[in-house]
Amino acid sequence: MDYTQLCYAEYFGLPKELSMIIVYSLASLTVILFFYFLKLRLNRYGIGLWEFILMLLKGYRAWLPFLWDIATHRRFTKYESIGAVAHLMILYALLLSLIGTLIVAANQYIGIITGKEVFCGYFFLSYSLVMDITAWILFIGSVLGGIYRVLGRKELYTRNEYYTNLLFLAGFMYLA
Amino acid sequence: MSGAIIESYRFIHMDLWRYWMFMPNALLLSSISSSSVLYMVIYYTHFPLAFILIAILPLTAIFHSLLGLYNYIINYKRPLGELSKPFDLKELTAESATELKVGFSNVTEILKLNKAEAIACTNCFRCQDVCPAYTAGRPPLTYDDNNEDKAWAL
Repeated sequence: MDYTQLCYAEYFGLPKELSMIIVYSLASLTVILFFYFLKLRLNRYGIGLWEFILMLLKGYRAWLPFLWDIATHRRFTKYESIGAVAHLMILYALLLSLIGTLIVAANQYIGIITGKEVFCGYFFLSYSLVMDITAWILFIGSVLGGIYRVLGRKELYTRNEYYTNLLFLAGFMYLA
Repeated sequence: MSGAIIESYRFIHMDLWRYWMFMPNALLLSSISSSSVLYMVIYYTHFPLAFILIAILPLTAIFHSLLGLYNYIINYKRPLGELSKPFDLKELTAESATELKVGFSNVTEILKLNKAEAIACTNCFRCQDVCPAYTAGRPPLTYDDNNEDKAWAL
């Protein structure tokens, strides 16, 4: 097999059913729901959705230090060990997964429009390896996060957040 | 696990055995991934679950990933650990001062920016760890989820 002709298969090469297309279309519903819930949560505190978005856009000068802190986790790692490592692993795994999802989406839309796929050859193979490593990072990070949550802060046990965090970690383990 | 199983199905379907070094997880799960029923089950759970997790982000503690940026904007260029001065003792004790006002008496007095700053808190309790009042035996930081909304909505 010529590796240059080898492309990612999902929409083009694997079983297709109408219900699978419905699942795909749920993505747009997700975006609508996300903004609806965002508005709902912010309104509880008397903050408007547009007000919030405009504030984020106007404060563009703070993005760089924010992203630098997030990328390095320098403040988190200063005070925590397991928690910081787990948070860092989950963050980078989700970031790489997001890039992977965007590549796959671009591949499918370009494929539908032009009839030619772009996620092919060594690009496809090398990112497959990246995603395999990412799956392990997400899985191990979620396990570490779970250990940190269960064995960590006893003060959080009475809070709803404690349980939603654990559910999120279980979800990450399933998605990995 | 579901992501790796979906990849494994693709791996078998496309006969990619010679490229296993690029897809070690798929090779690892190849013995259980040949079933198209399993592929469908995983497909119908993997994507909706991912979508649900994204949609409910603002309702969970993960909301701090957005509010964290908000917090950075509010505190831009403020040195790490610097506290703002809540009041000037000299001004408060001056003869002309008629009213001693420290903090807020009602939630409506709190600025929207400060509210957002407070919501961004992840309740990690690290502030409690270094709190002199807590060390001196004052009650720990307490939080009641059920009353949070009522308090902010005042």
